[in-house]
Amino acid sequence: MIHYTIRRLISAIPTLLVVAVMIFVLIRMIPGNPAMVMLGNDATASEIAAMEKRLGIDQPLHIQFARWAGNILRGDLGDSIYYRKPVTQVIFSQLEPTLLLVLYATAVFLLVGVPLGVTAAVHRNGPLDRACMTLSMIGISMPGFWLGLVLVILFSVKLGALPSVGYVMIREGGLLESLKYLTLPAIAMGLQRSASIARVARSSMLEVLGNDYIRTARAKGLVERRVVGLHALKNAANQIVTQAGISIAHIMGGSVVIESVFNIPGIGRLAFDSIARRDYPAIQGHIIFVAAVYVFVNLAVDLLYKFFDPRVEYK
Amino acid sequence: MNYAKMWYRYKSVALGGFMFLVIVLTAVFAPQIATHDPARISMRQALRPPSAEHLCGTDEFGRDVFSRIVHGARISLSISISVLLIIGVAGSFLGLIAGYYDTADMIVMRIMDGLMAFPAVILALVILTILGSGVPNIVLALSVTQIPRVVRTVRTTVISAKQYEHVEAARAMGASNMRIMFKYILPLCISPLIVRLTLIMALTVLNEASLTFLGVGLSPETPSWGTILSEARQHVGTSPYLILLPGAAILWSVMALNILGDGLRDVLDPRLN
Repeated sequence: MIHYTIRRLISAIPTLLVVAVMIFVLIRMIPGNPAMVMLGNDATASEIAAMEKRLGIDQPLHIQFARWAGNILRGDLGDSIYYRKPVTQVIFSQLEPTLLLVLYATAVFLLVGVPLGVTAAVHRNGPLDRACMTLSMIGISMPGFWLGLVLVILFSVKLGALPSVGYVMIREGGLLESLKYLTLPAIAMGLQRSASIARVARSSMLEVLGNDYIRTARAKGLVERRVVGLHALKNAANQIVTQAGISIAHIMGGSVVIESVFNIPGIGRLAFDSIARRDYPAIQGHIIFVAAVYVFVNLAVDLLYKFFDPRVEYK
Repeated sequence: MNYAKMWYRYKSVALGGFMFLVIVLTAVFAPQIATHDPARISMRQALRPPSAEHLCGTDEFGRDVFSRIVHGARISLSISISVLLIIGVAGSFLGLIAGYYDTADMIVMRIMDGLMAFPAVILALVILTILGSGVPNIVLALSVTQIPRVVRTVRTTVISAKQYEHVEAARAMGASNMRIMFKYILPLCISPLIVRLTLIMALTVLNEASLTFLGVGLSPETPSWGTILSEARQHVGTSPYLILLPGAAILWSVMALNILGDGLRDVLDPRLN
């Protein structure tokens, strides 16, 4: 398994390299010069030239890229032009809300999606199945940011039960207070993703429920809840985990939109602002970071297979 | 012919197709359906609640929200159909050569993997920042983010089609690679492609709304569902009804395409799941 993990990590390098080259080239095509953005419109030509030199953007592209890529391998994503701090530091300082939001939304989609899909599978073609699948069709088609707005109207404007926007860091208000701020966005993202989890859970449960060992389990007199919840679900888990991995990547990517709806100072918001500020290193750093998370989540999913299905072997 | 059976088989296609047709007709007849000029500003009428005169109320500039939503169907459809045409043609071509030639496979799929690892919204944001706003640019940005899915679908079909007997027979008879690819393999890709494109169109409608909601891609005067929502959002506290219908319009179109795509998959290609 260690060999497998190492090989998988190595095989991710070309993908990350392609991402790095693409984002590097794309970013440099953005009109506008970060030195000018920093100095303002009334800067003189020599001031701009000096700033360009200080930022290293006066060098030829391939040299800039080589320097940047070399630094990434050493864990250095460069310095943010806007914050004048290392990008890694900026990302980590804004990572908490995004990370917590992703975890919270994951909990929501697992807790809603899996029972929904299992219920649908157990009552195959019955009215409950149809109800669950209609719900999940609506969920899949729902724009997450719109659901967020509707939730704000219901729970913040009308009921005043939950804060509508913003975020309080854990060290300032405690974990519970932070979670309170993330509840509506987590539900907005989680409900949407739970729909696709429910569909996958249903189809993989249907596959598993047709197996002989399920009939055996029933024949030996196990209660249905045990048959479904223990025997069947464990074997249906791999496909659910795969879908969960995809969903986590989606939530990570979608955090740009939802963090902007709820005004959460996470890394999605950071990416959006960095693009507007022409903060090249911050945008590059963010995308490399998210792409790396994507690779790790995929790997974690593959490694989880063994946990649910001991027959899986990593070669 | 057993009609009950046929209905059972095609009911998703019929339902999704009907829902989609409603959107298409709304877009085509937008000027007739709209009760007001979607661009007419009248500050005296600003932020009125729904009434017989203004079915969904008015926005902060006194524009009729119902008419703007009806015209929004045009924007949404023209963008998503353009995206489909571009990625349908370009994606099939790339998928064909990637599935057919091993060297092309290496290069094309590496790039596609890279594109897939990008968060779609951020990639589109960066592209739009480079190109600036406008319908053609948003079409291009959305195409770039969605093309890997098409390439993957076509490539998978091509790889298995290469083994088929009729393809080998064609090769034995000395058919050129071009002829094999376009005459014998491409037709096999059409069914999975149609299914994939329908589901991608649903995603495109969603992504277009997200981007314009963020204020990127289209100018605020353009009546797109995303821009209408982002304006309505300023008044969530006082005029919450403003956000309901634009969102419902997005939900309706995306759901139409998802149901249609699911139905087409069941009918056209039972192997895909």
